[in-house]
Amino acid sequence: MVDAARPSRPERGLWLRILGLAVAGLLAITVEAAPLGLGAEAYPSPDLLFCIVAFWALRAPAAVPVLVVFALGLMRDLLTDQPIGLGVLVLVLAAEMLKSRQPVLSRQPLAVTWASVGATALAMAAALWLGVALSLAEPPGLAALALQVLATAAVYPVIALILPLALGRVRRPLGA
Amino acid sequence: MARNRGDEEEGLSRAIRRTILGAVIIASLVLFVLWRSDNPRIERLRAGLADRMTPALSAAGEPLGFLSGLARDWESFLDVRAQNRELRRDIQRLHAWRETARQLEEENAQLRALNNLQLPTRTTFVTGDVIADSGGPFRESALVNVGSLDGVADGSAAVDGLGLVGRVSGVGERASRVLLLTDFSSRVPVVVQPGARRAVLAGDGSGTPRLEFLDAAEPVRAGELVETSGDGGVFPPDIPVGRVILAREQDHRVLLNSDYAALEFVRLLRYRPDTRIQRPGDLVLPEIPRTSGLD
Repeated sequence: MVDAARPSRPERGLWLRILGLAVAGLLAITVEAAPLGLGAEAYPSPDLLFCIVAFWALRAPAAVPVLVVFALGLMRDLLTDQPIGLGVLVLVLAAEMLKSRQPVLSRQPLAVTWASVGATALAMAAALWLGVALSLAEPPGLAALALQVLATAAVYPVIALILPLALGRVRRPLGA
Repeated sequence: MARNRGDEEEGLSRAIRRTILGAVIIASLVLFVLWRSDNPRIERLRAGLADRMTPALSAAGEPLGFLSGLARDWESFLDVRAQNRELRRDIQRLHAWRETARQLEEENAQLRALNNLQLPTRTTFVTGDVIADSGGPFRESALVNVGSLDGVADGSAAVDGLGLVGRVSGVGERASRVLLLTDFSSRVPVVVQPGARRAVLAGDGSGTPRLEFLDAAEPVRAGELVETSGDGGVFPPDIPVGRVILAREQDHRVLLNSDYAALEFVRLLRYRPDTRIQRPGDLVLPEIPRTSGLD
């Protein structure tokens, strides 16, 4: 696959993957923000942006630059009225955590990565709740938060199965 | 030698990455502190981004809204018989109501004519499309695609066809954010009818906001009407809000009229209270006859 005549190939692949992350992240934000049922009774929408970032971090950790994750997270915070700054901080830390575990996790079957992504989502929710509570704001109901974590965990395998198909089966993990 | 250089480069790039990560963490914390202290800069940033993103969000919301509408339609298609029966019954009931309404309207017109009544200034409104919501459990708000260019101001009341939806908090040029009544930070002065007993409707993250500071000489009963009071001059008075339900003893809640689940369009009211009393009244004295010239 690597063409000796064009050494810039892997480099270009990396940029393409970063671009892919940005596009997929923007799409995730717009889907999350789409008004599908408002108010307290509505089902909380899953954290799609985190699913995308987690997928990328486990597939191609070199293509998940901190600054891109930061930009995406900040945009999501601003658009969907999350605790600004805290949401993006938690997302960046989660991405870094998954990136550092990638060498081990990427060799595991989907069930194991699924469980660890779910655990990360849970930890993120807990950190957000704690941060909001510590800053003396009204923290959200634990039931709603738990529902969101469940929704995120349920959506991740779907994304992990669909995205490779959509991306034309990029099998080889990059920068592992 | 070459290997050494490779190690060095790796060390350098790792140091750079660490620095960037540290900077990002600090920036996030600063943003969080600014947000918690209600910094106007954050609000401007948010309004600016909403303005910028309005077309994209509307475009993306279209197919998604279509899909969710399809799902809703399918659900209602499944129980179309039951619905049909219910609708027929409703129509019958409404016929009776229409008669009553017509009679009342006539009576009202007659009484007004007798009364030389000064009606308050008409409230005008602008209708917007809900283009985004806060999907998460942290805030309950919605983004609407009309803004200050359309005359929306901070604090404008948002209503749907049935009742109050929320209050505008944050206006951009082409988009504004509506804080829903169920949000933790939503507080609206209301009255419970009949009897105009004043209270504050306080959101607490559940679907039914709570009535606080109930100023009630007589107990508030379930089923009584809740309307905005217009206290504070932010909302126009008499917008229907919902009905009182009693969750527990001493826990009065309001079942909202507005339908959040099917909220597509909202009206943002452009309301300016017609009179404001600015100063205390003077002492009213009888006119003193001017007699000094004669004496």
